Amino acid sequence: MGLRDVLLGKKKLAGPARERLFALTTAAVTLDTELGLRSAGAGGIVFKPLSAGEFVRAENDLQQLLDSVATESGSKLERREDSFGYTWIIVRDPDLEDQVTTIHAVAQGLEEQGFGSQLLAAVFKFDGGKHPVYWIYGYKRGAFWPFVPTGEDQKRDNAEELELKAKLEKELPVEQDLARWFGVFDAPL
Amino acid sequence: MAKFSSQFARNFTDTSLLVPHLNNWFAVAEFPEEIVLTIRPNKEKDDAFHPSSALQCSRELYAKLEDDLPPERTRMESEKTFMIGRYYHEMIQYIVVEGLGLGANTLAALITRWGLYFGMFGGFGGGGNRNSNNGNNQVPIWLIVFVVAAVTYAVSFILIRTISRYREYAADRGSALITGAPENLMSALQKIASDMFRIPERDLRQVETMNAFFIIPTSVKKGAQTLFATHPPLEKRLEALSEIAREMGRPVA
Repeated sequence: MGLRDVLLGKKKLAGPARERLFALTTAAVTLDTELGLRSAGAGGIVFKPLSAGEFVRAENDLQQLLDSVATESGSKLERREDSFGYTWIIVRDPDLEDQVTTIHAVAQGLEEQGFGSQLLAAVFKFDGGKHPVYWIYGYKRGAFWPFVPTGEDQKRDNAEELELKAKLEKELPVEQDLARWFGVFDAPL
Repeated sequence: MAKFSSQFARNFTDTSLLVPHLNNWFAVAEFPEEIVLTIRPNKEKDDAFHPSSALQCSRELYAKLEDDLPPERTRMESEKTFMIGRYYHEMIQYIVVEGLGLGANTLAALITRWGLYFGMFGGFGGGGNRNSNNGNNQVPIWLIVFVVAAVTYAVSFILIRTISRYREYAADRGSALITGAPENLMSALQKIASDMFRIPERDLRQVETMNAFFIIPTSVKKGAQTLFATHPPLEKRLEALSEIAREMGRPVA
């Protein structure tokens, strides 16, 4: 990474995202058997807003991409803008593996169109605990981290999050720097 | 001088002014937000520096700790003494350093203001047409005064932070000596600064947007952080405590 990249705030994307992302499907077994957590039937990918120029081009391409992915996977795709101005592609599918596959397809499509650096995170929701559990995959870090908002303000259940880390570390590439476990509050999942 | 001391008196008796300071002590990584919010001076006594205020603070803190951590008596005892020890050290710090800092800051502010007047009105007889007539002569003086004031402000700011870090060591030391068991404090410190409190509360999207403006390399940021930190890094505190433990012939946890 050159000085220019540092100055422009560009970061390299971590390694082959595919395998890392798909590790979640294996980890899902442990989540279910040991923690009683099951997919809430929704996952999403969130990416940074595009500049005005890019937007016009991306708008058509994105819609095409979503249509083709939707017909291919059979998952239901939704597009949302959040209060931060970020765009979400929500995948509704009861099967986690299908969610992951679809989200990966969307991510790949975006990367091919040159928006790889806009990718922020993939988020998967699980139910069955006291609070809903989110696994966030950060594209820049190439790792997952747990996120358990308690529902009041910006509070999160850190104890639960650390337990999730301890239980799944062996199967999932978990972000080791806890200071980077940023949450995604009010995710539209 | 009278102005400064009256300002002290106000800071000193108004407990509401103390609360942000209390928050400040706890806000720096070692304690989670919930604890920060529960700490308040004793309202009945209406005197933040009454010993009972310190006790109340630590009682609330360690009621919270008892919820979160396994209730090991020694750890709590140590934390309690630490709190009280720290409280009194902070109290002294509040008088000495805050005075120093406030004095310097107020002075800097005053100088800047007077500098402005001089700069704007050009001494005594400048009158209305200040720009064309006096501008050339007065600007350098104004500039010098401004720079001096700014430097004073920066130095006093760093001084406050530096002394705060040394106070923290002193409080650690006091606690270790009072309990006679520095290893307990060490384990408490480790526990408190453990994983849980490193998890951020901010949103990924918010951070990502901010990152676009970060052009300073992280290594420089870290250097600045150590200079401005109000607490010394955990490793250094543990190092200092294990030094005390060795001196006392206690086991090093």
